[in-house]
Amino acid sequence: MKNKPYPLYSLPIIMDLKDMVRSRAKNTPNDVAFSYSAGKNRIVNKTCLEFSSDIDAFGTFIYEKGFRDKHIAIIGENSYEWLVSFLAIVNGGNVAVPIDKEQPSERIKQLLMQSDCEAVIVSKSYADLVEHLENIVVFSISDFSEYVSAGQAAIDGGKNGYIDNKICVDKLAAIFFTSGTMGNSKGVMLSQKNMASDINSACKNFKLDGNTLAVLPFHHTFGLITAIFKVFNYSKSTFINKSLKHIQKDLQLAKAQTIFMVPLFVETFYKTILDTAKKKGKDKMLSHAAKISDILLKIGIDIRRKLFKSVLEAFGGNLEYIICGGAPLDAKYVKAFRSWGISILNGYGITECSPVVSVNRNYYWRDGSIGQVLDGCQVRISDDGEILVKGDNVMMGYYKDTAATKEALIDDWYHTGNLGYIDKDGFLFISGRKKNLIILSNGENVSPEEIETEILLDEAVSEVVVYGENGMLTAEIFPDEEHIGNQQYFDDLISHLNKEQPQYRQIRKVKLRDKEFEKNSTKKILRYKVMEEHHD
Amino acid sequence: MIEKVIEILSEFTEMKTEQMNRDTKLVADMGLNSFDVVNVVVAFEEEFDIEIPDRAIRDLQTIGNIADYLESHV
Repeated sequence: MKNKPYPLYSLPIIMDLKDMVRSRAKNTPNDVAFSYSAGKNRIVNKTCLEFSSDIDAFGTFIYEKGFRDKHIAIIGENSYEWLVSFLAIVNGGNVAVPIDKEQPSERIKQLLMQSDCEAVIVSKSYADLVEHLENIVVFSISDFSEYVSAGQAAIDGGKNGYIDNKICVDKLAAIFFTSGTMGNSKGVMLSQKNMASDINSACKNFKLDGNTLAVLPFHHTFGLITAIFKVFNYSKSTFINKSLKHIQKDLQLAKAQTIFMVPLFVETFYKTILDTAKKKGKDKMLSHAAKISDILLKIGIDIRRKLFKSVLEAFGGNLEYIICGGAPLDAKYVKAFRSWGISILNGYGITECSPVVSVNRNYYWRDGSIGQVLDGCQVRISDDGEILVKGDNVMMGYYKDTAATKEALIDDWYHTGNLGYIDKDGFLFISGRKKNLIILSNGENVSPEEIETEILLDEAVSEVVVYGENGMLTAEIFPDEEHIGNQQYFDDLISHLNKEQPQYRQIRKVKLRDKEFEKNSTKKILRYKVMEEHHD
Repeated sequence: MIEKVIEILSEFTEMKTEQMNRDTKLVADMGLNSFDVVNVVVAFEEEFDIEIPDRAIRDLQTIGNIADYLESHV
């Protein structure tokens, strides 16, 4: 199909996450919903009916322990049990609080207090993080089967309170933490309506034709609501990657048609493919084949799956789509993967919007764009260029932070802090971030990300952050391994780029660093950490 | 152990063995990103038939860190 507008996909609407689970258990009870590796050569499959039953049983167990209208945290690596826990909590009217397992124990303690958690469900590997916590009940995922058995026994004994619980779609259902610009985590409050709305809308823009591999952490909305619930709602199966260490094996086992990723993965896979070709002396052949393939594609001949069979086999052989979000991805990766037969569809999501706002469509996309705005979600650009979002997917507010909520939500419009524009065909583009605007002494405002994108086009640049220092723009660069410490190379590069820029937009200082920038768990550079180092 | 670690890393990264020593940093000196480091860990797991927990990976910042970890766990 050509790259042009076409009607939205149509799927039955879900009212809430309970409706989502029940619908699949009723309509496709024996279809596999989730798979995962459990040791050598053993794959565990869980059907839709088993998933639904486990949620009911675990939810009933939680009820029987006296937790109703309570906040319950989840800490652990990606797992089937993690997903059952989340839905068991929210579908019983309790509030789920997913927490990043990579946080130090003190920080976790602080987040549990900040979100008023009375219980925590924790995996064995991270159990020590919640040891010795006062006034918090700990449930270990190691004992999951016992909890489920106890819950099922209660159901069999006539305890139907959990199963009969009616979902209030506007009530608080989950608190997801997001890093604030000043480094203070804010608790984003999402209701069942928020999450269901985003799942319904995202399903209309992007169609799944096969199964997926889940590699993103579940404590983030992109990794959970988009990469898991949207797929589940599309009646497709997800293979759960429990650790990135197993990603190569899981790619072969899952044979996914679609994978949801952040740019770091795409960039690393790209590098690995090129390095492997080089080691085998086939790098020129790969480049040549891509050019031929691109020409043939233009006249409607697609031989990519034959021509790049070995590249595709590294991803399991069936990969057709990568949905990429969380950070900007350079267009060169999109083009390269397309030449090899894999479409990268960039999207835009924010935790505060549950999370997806826009995504490129299967057969209608623009390189460099973050796609078409979801149906039912309104986007407008403010007078000062900020992307504003309104719709059922927009959060209820920040937990116990009225000031931050008032600042972010004005007349129901969520102020994203991102600058952007919409082109004549309705494609949304991001051009920078308002919160990171550099205000120069002459009054000019500069978007560092816009300049960073230009600098990143040079392959010797692995990462770059542009900031204001003493009234001047400074580019701090983490080079690739061949260019580490090569100041002259980067001085020349910036000098060349400066030639095309107005005075105020020119980089005056180039700093090289020998380690990559500190990132959060979705691999976004922690910009405030860089700012802290320079105090400007 | 250190020689074995360097040998495996050189195959993984194409960096020459004489350019590496105990203090060589995986990210800063070898140009690996955090995802590359995970893949390096997998190579060591396979070579030494052990399992390195995810939480231990953040402590493996230099070649010396890897050698020390393997010596105490293999």
